[in-house]
Amino acid sequence: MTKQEQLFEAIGGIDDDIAANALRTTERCGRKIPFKLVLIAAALAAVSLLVGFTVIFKNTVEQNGKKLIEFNIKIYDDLVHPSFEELTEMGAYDLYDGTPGVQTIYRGYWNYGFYIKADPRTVIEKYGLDLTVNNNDNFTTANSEEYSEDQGFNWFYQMHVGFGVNEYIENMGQNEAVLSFMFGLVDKRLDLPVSFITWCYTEELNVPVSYNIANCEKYEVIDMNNGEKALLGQYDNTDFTRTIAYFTYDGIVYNVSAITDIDGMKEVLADLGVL
Amino acid sequence: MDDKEIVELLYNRDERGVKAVRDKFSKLIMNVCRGILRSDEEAEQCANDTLLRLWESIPPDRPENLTGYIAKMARRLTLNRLRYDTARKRNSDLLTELDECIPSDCSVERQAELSELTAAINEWLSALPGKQQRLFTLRYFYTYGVKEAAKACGMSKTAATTALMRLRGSLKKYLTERGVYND
Repeated sequence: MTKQEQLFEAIGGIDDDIAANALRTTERCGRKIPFKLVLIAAALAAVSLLVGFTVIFKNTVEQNGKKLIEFNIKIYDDLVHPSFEELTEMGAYDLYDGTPGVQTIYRGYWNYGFYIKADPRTVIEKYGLDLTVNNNDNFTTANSEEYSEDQGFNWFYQMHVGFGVNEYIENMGQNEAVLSFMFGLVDKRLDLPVSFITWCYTEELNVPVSYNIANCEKYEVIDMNNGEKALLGQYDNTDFTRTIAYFTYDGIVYNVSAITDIDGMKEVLADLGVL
Repeated sequence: MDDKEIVELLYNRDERGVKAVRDKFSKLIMNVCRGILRSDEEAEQCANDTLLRLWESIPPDRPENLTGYIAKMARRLTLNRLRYDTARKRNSDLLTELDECIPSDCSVERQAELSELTAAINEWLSALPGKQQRLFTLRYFYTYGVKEAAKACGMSKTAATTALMRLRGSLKKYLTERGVYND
């Protein structure tokens, strides 16, 4: 072994914390722009009442204390969960070992969760929810060879449903419960795979909590057709550009991402019918 | 799932821990392996070895920082593989740079004890400001390209190149003063 190789090998023994800290992407590094989603409960509650909902909370995105956007979260406290038998019949399988069925109460993180290889919209409809992708002919499931599992698009075939605590919330000491859907669809017009994560809150939020959103190269705030605003953050990696859109629609939080720039994401949102 | 929960799963010999590691860390593991081997097929084999070794090492290990633990394990296994593959060309740019960290009067025969060298590097790294520590670690631990490491740290490539040169000089000075390479 040469001296250089020995030094290279010695560097491999650095502290675990130093190795892990090097991968952190949320810290401010010069050009990066940090965002913080702040949920403000109680003080801004009951802005309006709609049938089927109880309390509406304001949600703000701030930069350096300056409010960029605010949007509304609604509590779907009358949500009816499909039975585990129904979900199993649809093809739900265990998160970790692939066995059929819906897993319950995993160490206080999820009350239940499962993967399912089905059209995401059929699962969403089972919950009685109407997301912007439902009844939307601009989007389709990825059945072509181009988007096959062999091509690395296996997440299209593994919709994830979880009911429990929102993993993106830092302060998780409350009893907030949220139904999350994670799935992929293809924007047919753009021939573009689009990733969705949606959060539907089912219990009242008791104290302020915060999200941490990864820093991005640039961002844009745009108007939506429901009177609210969406935040589009563009992330430039070595090999590709990804844009993530954050917004609420009908009180449900959306995180929509695709390998495209901000202008491309606007096209996706237009096809979603929210612009 | 947070890292502590994954460690507990592994510690309790629950195979869901392996699945959780695969779901959460497969990209990191592959990046570490691919950065050294430059071959996807071999990197994938090393990635699988990493998962297996992880399963074997916890318990008795119970790492506080799972990300760092996994990254180091992947790197070590990949280097072991590379060491026995004499036909493969090492990352010569990286090694050429590291030559600048070694005192010029260091005897060819005298090699520092690996553990002593590692301890010295850890001490030196711990004293660095955050961005510099990060830049050095991304370049020489994770074998990021200079441009990649610069981008990750929010720096221009020129600034990163200069910073890395200064860091190598600083490490050389530290190792010399520490007497790591002294006869």
